[in-house]
Amino acid sequence: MHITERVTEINSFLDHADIDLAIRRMLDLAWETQNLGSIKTAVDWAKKSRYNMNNNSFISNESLIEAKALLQQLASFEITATSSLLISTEKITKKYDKGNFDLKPLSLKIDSGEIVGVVGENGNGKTTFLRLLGGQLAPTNGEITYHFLENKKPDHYTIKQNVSFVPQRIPRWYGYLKDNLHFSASISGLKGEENEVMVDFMLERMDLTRYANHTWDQISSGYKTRFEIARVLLQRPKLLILDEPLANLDINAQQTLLSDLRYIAKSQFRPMGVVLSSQQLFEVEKMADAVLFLKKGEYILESTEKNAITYSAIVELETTFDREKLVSLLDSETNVSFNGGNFTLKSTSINAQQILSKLVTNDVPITYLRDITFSTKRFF
Amino acid sequence: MNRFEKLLPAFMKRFNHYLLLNKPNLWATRVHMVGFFGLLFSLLLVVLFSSLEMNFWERSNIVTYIVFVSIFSIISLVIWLVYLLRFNPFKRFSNDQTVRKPGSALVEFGSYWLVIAVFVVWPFIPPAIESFRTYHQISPDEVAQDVNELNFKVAAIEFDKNVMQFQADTTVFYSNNNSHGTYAVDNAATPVTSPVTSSYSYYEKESLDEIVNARDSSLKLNDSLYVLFSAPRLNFIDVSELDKVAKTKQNTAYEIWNLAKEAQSVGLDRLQYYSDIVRICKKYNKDWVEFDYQRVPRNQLKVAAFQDIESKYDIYQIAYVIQDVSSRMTRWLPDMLFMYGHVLFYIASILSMAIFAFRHFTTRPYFLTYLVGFLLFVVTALFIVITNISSSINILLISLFFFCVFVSIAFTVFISKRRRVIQGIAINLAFYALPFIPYLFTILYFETKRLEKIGTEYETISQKMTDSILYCEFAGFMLLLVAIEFGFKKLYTHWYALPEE
Repeated sequence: MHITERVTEINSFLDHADIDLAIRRMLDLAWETQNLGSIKTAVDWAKKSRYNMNNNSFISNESLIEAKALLQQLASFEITATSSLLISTEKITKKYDKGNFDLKPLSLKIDSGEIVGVVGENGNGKTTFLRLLGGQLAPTNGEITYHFLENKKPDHYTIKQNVSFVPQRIPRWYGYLKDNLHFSASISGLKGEENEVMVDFMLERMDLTRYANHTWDQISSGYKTRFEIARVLLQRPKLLILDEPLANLDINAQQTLLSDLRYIAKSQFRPMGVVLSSQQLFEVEKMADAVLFLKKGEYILESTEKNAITYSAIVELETTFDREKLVSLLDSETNVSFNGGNFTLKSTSINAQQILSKLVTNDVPITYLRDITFSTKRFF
Repeated sequence: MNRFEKLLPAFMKRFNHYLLLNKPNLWATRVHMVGFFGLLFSLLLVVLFSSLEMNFWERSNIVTYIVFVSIFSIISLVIWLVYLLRFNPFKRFSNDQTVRKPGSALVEFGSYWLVIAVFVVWPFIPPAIESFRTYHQISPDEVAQDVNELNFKVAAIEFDKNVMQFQADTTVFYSNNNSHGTYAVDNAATPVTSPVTSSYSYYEKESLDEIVNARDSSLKLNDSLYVLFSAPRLNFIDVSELDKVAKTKQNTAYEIWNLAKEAQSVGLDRLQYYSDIVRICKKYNKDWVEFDYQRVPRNQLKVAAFQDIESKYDIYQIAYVIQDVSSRMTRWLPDMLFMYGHVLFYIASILSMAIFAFRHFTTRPYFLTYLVGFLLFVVTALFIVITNISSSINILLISLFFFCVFVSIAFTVFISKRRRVIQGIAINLAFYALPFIPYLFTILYFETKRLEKIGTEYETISQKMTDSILYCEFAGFMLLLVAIEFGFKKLYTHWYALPEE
């Protein structure tokens, strides 16, 4: 998105009083400029606005004026978009010395700014694949090329400097949470005032400021995930790998995190590749550029709307309607199956819209309906 | 360190924050906080022990305080370790090369060393303050004079006892090419029979002057056979260390004997002497009980009689207190300082190495290192015993062989595609062995030379070897620092970053 479009979008959020969204996007835009003064101003404004929101549930005129001025200032910056191939895998496989799990050959390319979702049931190789990408495991066969390495020689320390891995079980932090962030930023080269500003920025960006002086035991699992992501982002990795980041988050937090990740990944100034695994298929599919579906260690499909499919429609339906009646009202080319909770309707002749139309016309009570024609959910 | 951070004054809080933002590697070691609180605690100890009531003429209970402060040091060390191991920049793969940049490993190692040194120094503070205060209250000369007076006056009073005879020792001085038995004939032929003892001592002829001069008196029977005499053990209280600090030297047993004999000849005032003894004894032990000084010892056996005299005057108790008082004045002499320096050096260096290795390592292989080291030691010892190759040179060569093997395996890490436990263990063992390599080479050199020489040259070489140990310690430590910066940092970094499996 061009900078003027982003400014317009933020203005729109401000006009419609979507303050939280405006704050996040404003901070994103400020970060894109990499101008310490602008970031600091944006953080100060965000803090003040959030404070107002929490106390008065509305943004003051003064804050609004400040926001507009800040936007004007941010719009004047020139941001150059960059994108490059980050990592490619060539038929990598993994067989553990102990255990009978095999990851079948898998080839993949990830560009900076690209988000790849990895889905699949438990024990199908998602974490193994992520750890291979992160350099924590060595492939049994095949090759992983990290294109950001200057001499392409696999210097594993440099790989791990640039590829951040957030595990599902986050190791405990000790001391104040803010100190941990300062520490991470500091060992990543952010020193002095820059460190101070960037930590404040990240706390505000992830809406964690009020927990900054808490300790690990004083925050919930969801906040632990967010703090870990904040810590990793301060290290400015080229590739961010997240193993089940949504596991501990409520539905609102999941959506916020995914949309934030998308913005951060697609930063124009410093685009970052993101690979994440999750069981939340729909949420992942919504934000990912590509989705990998793994079943028993085998790569089934890289699902995008571009991919050809066998059915014209696959719909998930929850209803109290009788199964026989449901079959009879649909045409013969629509297959109806029941998994004990939901019906799955697969048609080769009509699309999802037409199926819905038929259901409504015939007064079928619908508790839940979802079009999964292009979703990896259809493989489950 | 949250709780400790809260206790910091404003300027230290600012400094702590500055280090966090600018020197994360140093901040993580908490050297500044240990330095600050360590200094405060040291000052507290100084104030406490300066104001503590002490009777400088009595036995000190400083050992209790040393134990107490040592326990506090150990607890502080454990607390520091717990906090230290939480923030590990090395395992975070820092982007600004905090770990990889020149000097970073040395700063890290040096910080550990300094922190541990602070903890080790604390137990030395109470005895240092005690010594300082003792020096201001008591002169070493006064103690030395008391010792001389007490020894002399006890000897003078008890001089008429038959224990005051010189001890004789018939000594044979032989040449290297003669056997001992030859001198039995000399002995049989000698007209002087009374002082000759039934058992002989044997020495090489080269040491004749040295041995004869060391005795209090001698009688030459012929060129090879001497009767050497030692004065009776009249230095009941012997605090030889005091001579190093006092101008008044302690009298030898022979000098005391002469003084006592002289006093006998001019006629001594026993009552006056006894009251002087009481004065000195009560000075060092106010509970000292007076007695009838003219009482007759229970027995007159030579050895037991001395014990009887000591018992009569309660010499043991007085000697103990005087030694205690003297030790406060002599415990900071250069040779003692050298020893304390060694204690500090070795504790700080060994613990720093262990912490450095642990911080750059995964937990399981780290502890496996010690197990492997122990097993290698046991297996090698068994091998040496079974194959009967237990000469010191063989043991040194085996040690060097092991070191070469560890280094060779450690360097395979640069061509390895995954992290292997055996490589990690080899890196650790090479790391621990490295400071001792100068020792090995030095001892090997001198042992080889010693094999070629016998006799006095053998002793000279042994002395040279002992003198070289100090240089080996220094060289080993320097070698370690150089290897940390240019070798082990890369080895550890490379090994830890490799894929796990």
